[in-house]
Amino acid sequence: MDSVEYKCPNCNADLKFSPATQRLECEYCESSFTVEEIKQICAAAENSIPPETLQAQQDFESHTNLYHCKSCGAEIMADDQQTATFCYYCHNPVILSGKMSGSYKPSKVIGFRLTRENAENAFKQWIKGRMFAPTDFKSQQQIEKITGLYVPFWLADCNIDVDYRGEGRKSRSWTSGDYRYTETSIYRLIRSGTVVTQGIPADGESKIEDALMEAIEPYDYNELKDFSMSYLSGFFADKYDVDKANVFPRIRERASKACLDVLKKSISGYSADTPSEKNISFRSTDWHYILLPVWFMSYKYKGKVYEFAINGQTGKLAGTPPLSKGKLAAFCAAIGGIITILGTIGGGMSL
Amino acid sequence: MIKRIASFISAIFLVIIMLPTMNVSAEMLTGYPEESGLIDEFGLYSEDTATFEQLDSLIKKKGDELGLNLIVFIAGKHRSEEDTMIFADDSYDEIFGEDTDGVFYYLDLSGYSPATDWISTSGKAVFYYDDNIDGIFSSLDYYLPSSGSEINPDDISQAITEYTNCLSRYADTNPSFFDVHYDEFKKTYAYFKHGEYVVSDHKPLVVYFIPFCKSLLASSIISLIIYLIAKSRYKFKGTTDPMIYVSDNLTRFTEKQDIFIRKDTSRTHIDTSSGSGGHRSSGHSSGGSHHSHSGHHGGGGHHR
Repeated sequence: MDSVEYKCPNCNADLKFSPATQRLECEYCESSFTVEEIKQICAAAENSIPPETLQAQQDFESHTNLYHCKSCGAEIMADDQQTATFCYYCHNPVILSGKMSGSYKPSKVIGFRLTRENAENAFKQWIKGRMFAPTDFKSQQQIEKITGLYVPFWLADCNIDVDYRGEGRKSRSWTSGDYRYTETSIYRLIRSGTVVTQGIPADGESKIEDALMEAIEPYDYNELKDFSMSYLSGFFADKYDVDKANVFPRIRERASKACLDVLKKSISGYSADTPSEKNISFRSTDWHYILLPVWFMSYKYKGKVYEFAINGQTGKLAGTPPLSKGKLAAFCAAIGGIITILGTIGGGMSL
Repeated sequence: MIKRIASFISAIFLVIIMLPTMNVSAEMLTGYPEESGLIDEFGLYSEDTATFEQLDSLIKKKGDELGLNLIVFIAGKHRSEEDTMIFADDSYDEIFGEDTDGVFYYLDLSGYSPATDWISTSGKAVFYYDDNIDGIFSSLDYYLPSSGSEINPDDISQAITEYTNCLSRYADTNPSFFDVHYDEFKKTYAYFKHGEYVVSDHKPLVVYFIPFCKSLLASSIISLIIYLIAKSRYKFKGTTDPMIYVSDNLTRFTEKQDIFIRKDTSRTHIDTSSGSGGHRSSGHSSGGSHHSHSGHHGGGGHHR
């Protein structure tokens, strides 16, 4: 299968994208190039067909390999520089199964800002305070399994019509003589307009927990760049397997919640408000398909897969650490034993 | 002059040094036979020997029945609470010997207000009655006169009779296996072992049993709390508020109105009355084990 190879114009060694410098660097002659420079240099590989869109799609089709994990069924996209030695979901070997269709080409990408070293340090810091995690989970061998992964995301820009009718109450109380007075002022509340949300993300990857991806948000969209294969160099990438129609319920739920919060924020100063009518309708939604950087690690412990992710741009991390119940039980037993012994001796001595 | 000042300071110093020993040489009953009975210091029954004999006999009989040495002492002289306690403990030990089984009931008829009654227990009687001293005094309050009021010999007779009944009623003749009394002065432990009253220098292992059970319970609760807290830290946490995706610049309310409709006012009556119980005067009671310089004693006192 053909592959995209970003070669150093000086020594012809492989170039890799560096999150620290946001440039493609050669490890041998230490040359470095911007993404734009490499785009021009590698025009023959990336832009051989004049119409830009068609060219990009063909590049994507021709130079992107799709691997299929035998064990868990995950589809993993990678350029030829990457060697998929294990599936990043189940850590089993993967096999080459075919080419990726150009329709999966993302429009934008945010490059990795966090280096592997940053990611490993963040993981070590996160796991340091979790003394009941299995020892394996903290091992260097496990830490080395942290994988830089471009996750496919759908970004939705929603125009939402909101219409609220309700009743608001303001109360004040005072005491006079033997009586307590309560005065309640009642208002009719009307809110009508348009709420606009921009860039609500929803990952298009069914293998990764949606909650995990939501937890490492937000990304700074100011760093969104036009997609180039060169950003993938040195990282894994995945194509979406959940289309926008299927992610829309998640988008709608989050956007609706945002609308309710906007309404709530606009109704202030009332001790109680009772809605009589509350309509939220999506007038239009614009979609963008992008790749976002995630440092990802999974760990299988007692038949359950635990996932850990770091936002490859901001460093925000989230995950579920595995709990070694044996370690925790031993700790509790030790604490309990010490308290029992001290209490028994202390209690006995006091008599 | 200097010699005089020095001798004066020495005298004060000696008095201070001797003060603690004055308690040790507190008064006690001496010369009484080693048997249960009534001792009438007040002289309440000096002219009514029949009643005296009757009560004395009743006490002896109750003592035989319970296997305890019993003394009921009708005091005619005022003693402080501490002196009363020491007097009762020491008099019992003087008559029956240390660590023997019995009860000394000090009934204060001195007329001093407040009157200080005392029940001194010794030997297994400590285990029988120490938890019920207040109950016994409460039963006697019905018959005994308030301090300073007129004393009716018949009331006292009935009080003593009731006292002997109380000794039967409140006797916990099967004390707990775990009940251990420690005498700080003698450094001895008193407890029941296989139904026998034992006084030992060595701490019985049973002393550790209740602290062990309590510690085990406390440690189990603490361990459970630690377990739950630790477990909660291993759950997935973290959500992102979707409000951050709302564009403030593009969000517009075409209609935003707060229209006043009406105003409602309500009032509720504040109930200022509160229930109050009648004032009741009640006697003060104190109890618990104490230790004299002699035998192992328990007991407690009561003011009328």
